[in-house]
Amino acid sequence: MVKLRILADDEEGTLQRAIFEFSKRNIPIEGLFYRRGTSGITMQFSLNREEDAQKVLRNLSKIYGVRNAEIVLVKEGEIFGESIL
Amino acid sequence: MNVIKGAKILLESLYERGLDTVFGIPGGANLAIYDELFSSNFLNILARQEASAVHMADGYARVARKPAVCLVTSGPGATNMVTGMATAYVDSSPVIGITGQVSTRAMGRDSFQESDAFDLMIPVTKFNFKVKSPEEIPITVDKAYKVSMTGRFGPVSIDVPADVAMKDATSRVSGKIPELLYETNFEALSQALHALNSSQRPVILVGGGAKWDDCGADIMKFAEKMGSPVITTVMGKGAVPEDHPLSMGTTGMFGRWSTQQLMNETDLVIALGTRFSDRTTSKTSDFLPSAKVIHVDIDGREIGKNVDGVIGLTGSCIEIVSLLNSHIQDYAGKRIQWTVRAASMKSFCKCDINYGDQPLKPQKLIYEMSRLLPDDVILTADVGQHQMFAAHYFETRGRRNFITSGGLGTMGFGLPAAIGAKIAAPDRKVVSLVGDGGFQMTFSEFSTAVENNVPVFIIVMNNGSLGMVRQFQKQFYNHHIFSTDYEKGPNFAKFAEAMGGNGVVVEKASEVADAIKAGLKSDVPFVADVRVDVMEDCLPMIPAGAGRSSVVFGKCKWGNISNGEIANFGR
Ligand SMILES: Cc1ncc(C[n+]2csc(CCOP(=O)(O)OP(=O)(O)O)c2C)c(N)n1
Ligand SMILES: [Mg+2]
Repeated sequence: MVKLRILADDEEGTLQRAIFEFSKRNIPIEGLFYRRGTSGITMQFSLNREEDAQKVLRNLSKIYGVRNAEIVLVKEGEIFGESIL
Repeated sequence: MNVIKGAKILLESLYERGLDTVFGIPGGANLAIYDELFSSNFLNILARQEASAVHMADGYARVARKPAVCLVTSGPGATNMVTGMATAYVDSSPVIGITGQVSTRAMGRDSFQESDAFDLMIPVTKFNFKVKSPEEIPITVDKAYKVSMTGRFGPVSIDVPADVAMKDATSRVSGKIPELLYETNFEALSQALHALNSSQRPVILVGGGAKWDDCGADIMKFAEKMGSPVITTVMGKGAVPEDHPLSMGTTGMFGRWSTQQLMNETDLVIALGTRFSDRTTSKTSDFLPSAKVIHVDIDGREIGKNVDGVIGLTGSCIEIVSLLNSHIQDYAGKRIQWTVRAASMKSFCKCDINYGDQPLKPQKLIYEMSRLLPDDVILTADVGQHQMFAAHYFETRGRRNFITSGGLGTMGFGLPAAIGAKIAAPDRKVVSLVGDGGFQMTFSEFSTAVENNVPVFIIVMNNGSLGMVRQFQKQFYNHHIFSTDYEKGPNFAKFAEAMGGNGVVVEKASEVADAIKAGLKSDVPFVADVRVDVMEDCLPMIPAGAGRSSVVFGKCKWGNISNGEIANFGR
């Protein structure tokens, strides 16, 4: 599983835009975490294939308000650096 | 601060950024904005359908190189707007769309004329916003403007609930965000310069991106220094003067075969502001068999998207062309053989259009337009055979501009885009070449042109058919002509008169010139209903998804000469 993490300004619609970048390329999303915090929003998409992640990465980073989009290594049982248990 | 209504703040915020023209249609949810528009300095154009209102704003933006505003109501107003925004989006045109929305109290209740305009616009805009209070309007407009005009241009929309427009703001949030940055990346510059200096047979391929930069003169200077022929995509047509000896005309699915020939032989393509759409490349595995590619684009995502292994330079065309120009050696003399070969292909590509008087052939009409329209004409083309005939045969010399829906291929774009273009450039002649099918999709806007004294000249290439689809049925569906020919078609000249304009019907080649002269002279909107031969296909054509070898030449001369003869061109 490849994880893509996106940090963005808190602009409404960014989540939908990000999802559309996958669906319009027929890339299935296997998992998704979303969090709205005081300094912006964080999204993490899980995908099956590294090449899909690469394909969508630069499109995600071009969405207005996206500060960073990258492939990340995530420890089992953690999301955004915290335990999900 | 004074207490001030949301609607007024919205208009002031737009006006402060130099936006002074609104195309739209009122309705319940945007009435408060219209009420303020009444006493504003905006030029307000009442369209007949919202998609057309966006096409007008789009045509305006492509000429003025700044956004126009499109203002529609909620529900059907917003859904109608989608086609226009999608058209502007793929062609990178900066339209600012404002959708009225039901009031915040009524949202989410399937209220009358409620549609989720915000989510509808997401895939057809560069970004979009929803305002929840009048205080946040100035900063939202500032963001919208900057997003639409920074880097690769594109449409942006703002959803404004009726109560937000009506409410007074008690404080005014600062209306400015920092300038947005767009990506530039010149890391591959030395690799690009090496490729440029060592190329024997370069070709410059110009796309629509170059038009937004208005850098045709710089491109031709670069071409002269390089000794490189210049080819345009359909979207790039008009970026460079086609009467320049190095200018080869338009390529692509229906393009000039000379351009295909050169791209087959070139060892280096310098691609400026093109995304290498499938209409340009046809089957990519057959495209540019022996060429390296330097890909210049303001949008880093486009680099290498459709063609692999490119040398990418990210930034504006104007900036990168002048950078390359100042660094390359003057090689024109050393590439003389190549430029002579290109010139001989160009001259072979001139068609003999001496057809008889009747039936009138489409090529003859375009030839006459090319001969008679002024050198600063703005030609908008709709979508279909007429568009591709124009892309192929119309010469964009001088300051001529060619505007079309190249990306989405939206029928009905031509006339409203011409109205927008004429409003942006009232001193220039604006002509719209449309098909009888596409014209009927938005011809209600002829009335808009009459009402607002916008004397556009519409040339209907009337073949009594959805000609391009008919051509596909003929070529690829065993001649099953079905649901494409019209059993009955209107008399578009009488239509024009009924709407308060003028018109003429043309049936013979010998009548075309007089009709064009009359249309150019007319001070009211004018229609030339030109009846052309429906049997004439737009050829050569490379079938969709196929390679060069599947070309259908028809009577194109290139189909009748041998490779041996082609090898001797310019030798
Ligand atoms: C809105 C829309 N609907 C359908 C099409 C598909 N289509 C492409 S060309 C064409 C025929 C256009 O006919 P006409 O306007 O008469 O132009 P012609 O090809 O005859 O010159 C059609 C239906 C389209 N491009 N746009
Ligand atoms: Mg037709």
